[in-house]
Amino acid sequence: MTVKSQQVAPQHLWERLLEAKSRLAPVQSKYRVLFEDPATPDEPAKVLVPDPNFMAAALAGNVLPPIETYQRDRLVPDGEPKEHPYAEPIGAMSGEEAIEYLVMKDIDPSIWRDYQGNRCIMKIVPVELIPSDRSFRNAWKINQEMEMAA
Amino acid sequence: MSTLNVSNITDGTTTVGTSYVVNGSAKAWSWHSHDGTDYNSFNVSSVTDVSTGLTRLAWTNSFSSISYACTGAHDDGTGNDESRMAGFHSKSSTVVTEYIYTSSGSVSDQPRSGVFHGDLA
Repeated sequence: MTVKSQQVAPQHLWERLLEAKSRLAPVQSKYRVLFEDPATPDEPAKVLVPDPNFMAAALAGNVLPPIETYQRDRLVPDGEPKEHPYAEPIGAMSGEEAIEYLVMKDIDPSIWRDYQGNRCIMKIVPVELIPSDRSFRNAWKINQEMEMAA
Repeated sequence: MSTLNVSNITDGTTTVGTSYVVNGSAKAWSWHSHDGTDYNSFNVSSVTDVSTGLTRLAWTNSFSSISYACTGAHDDGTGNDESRMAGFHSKSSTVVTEYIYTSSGSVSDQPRSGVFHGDLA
């Protein structure tokens, strides 16, 4: 049996996430992404909450892969090798850039890229604009006036 | 970051291959409220509040395929410190939706947890 100790940057994304979680304090985003899916117009508006550990990794840099790798991996069939876990990590992002990265990663392109209707189906809003009363949660829609979120 | 490159781990009596440790570890986990205000996790990039009782988790490092194991639980909200199993649907290698019901059978916004085992991409 041999034991080797060496100073190396983790090559796999999952290992970088492990290392980042042990080193970085979580960062709570002040923003939420409200969106509706035009393919299911009867469903309520959805609210995307950025993960605090993801935000910490994004703001610190050298953990997450380029967003293009996730986009290419969308086209890879299940079970086939994917690119994003092995891609070289990118540098630090701003808070705004991290939210844009999340939108492109976790929301379907049919919502943030391809939709051509007149209705506003996605908004990035301060967390204070998300209603705290959930009595009618399943009726939430994005307010088409600019000052209110839902 | 220091790396120990070993093929086996032993306590002096029992020896196991490190592949058992690596492959047997949870690859993602989360504990979150419906709106993400109370939160801890690993390998999750976002939680989406889909509707009452439903939240969708997106993985930072996706799984290799849809064939991974999901285990979840939540407080039943009755104040009796009872936990109930959570359910999962709309699973892919990149996201999964978790849903929970109270003991009376209605969907619930109680905080919930999830642990996920399987092969990574």
